[in-house]
Amino acid sequence: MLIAYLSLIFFLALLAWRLGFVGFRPRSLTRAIGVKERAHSNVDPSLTLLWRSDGGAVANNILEGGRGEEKGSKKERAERYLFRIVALTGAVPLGNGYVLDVGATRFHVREGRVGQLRDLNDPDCRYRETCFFLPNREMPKAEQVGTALLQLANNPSLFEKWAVQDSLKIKADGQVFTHMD
Amino acid sequence: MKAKIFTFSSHGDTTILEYDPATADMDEVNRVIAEYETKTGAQPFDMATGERIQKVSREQNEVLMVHPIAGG
Repeated sequence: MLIAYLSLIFFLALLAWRLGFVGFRPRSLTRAIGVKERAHSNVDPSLTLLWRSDGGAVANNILEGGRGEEKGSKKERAERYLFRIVALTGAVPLGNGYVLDVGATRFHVREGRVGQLRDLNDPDCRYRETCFFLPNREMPKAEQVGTALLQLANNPSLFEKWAVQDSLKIKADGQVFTHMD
Repeated sequence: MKAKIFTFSSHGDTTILEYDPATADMDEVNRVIAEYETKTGAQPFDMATGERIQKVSREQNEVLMVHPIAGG
């Protein structure tokens, strides 16, 4: 009889320990792999938010170079993205840059500079050129060129704004970005 | 399969948000994007088509937030 009681107590203790262990396990695992349980108090918990609007509290992975699902160095990944953008926009490599045709307009985009030939059918059409830069100048050059190609392919009138509105930050939709930190 | 919103930054490609497009609250995803645009001026482009998009839907699995450019 005593053995039966001891066995029952042992079994209940084992059951309680097991339930407790399973109950706490997900939280410990989440902590162990560093997943943000709720990066932002107002955000849906099913989303993994890796950026926060308060600037100073940017998630660690951004400070550490981003979550690179793709392997390779920063420069290699940037070049792979540029190749994808070149393919998406139909741009063609030329010299140290890329030629992008949008309608009758031809752009020549290279590091920090973009040229425009407004009308491919007009032999007297004047070639114009302007500098461009992203506010974040530490961005890899391939990503800067990719950014310019994407924007021009979607909105070729941006060239005029870049050429005329010196140093103003122009958003992809052509609006001036005026937010100041 | 996870969807992601990412951007180009000084650190290269940088993920801003990851979610399951089948179950995520897309209003919440678009709210985060709008907040990011307000802060940085970056606007969303679908990396499957290369086109600028107004709102992200469940069909888009990879969205690039493209930062403003200045001329000079």
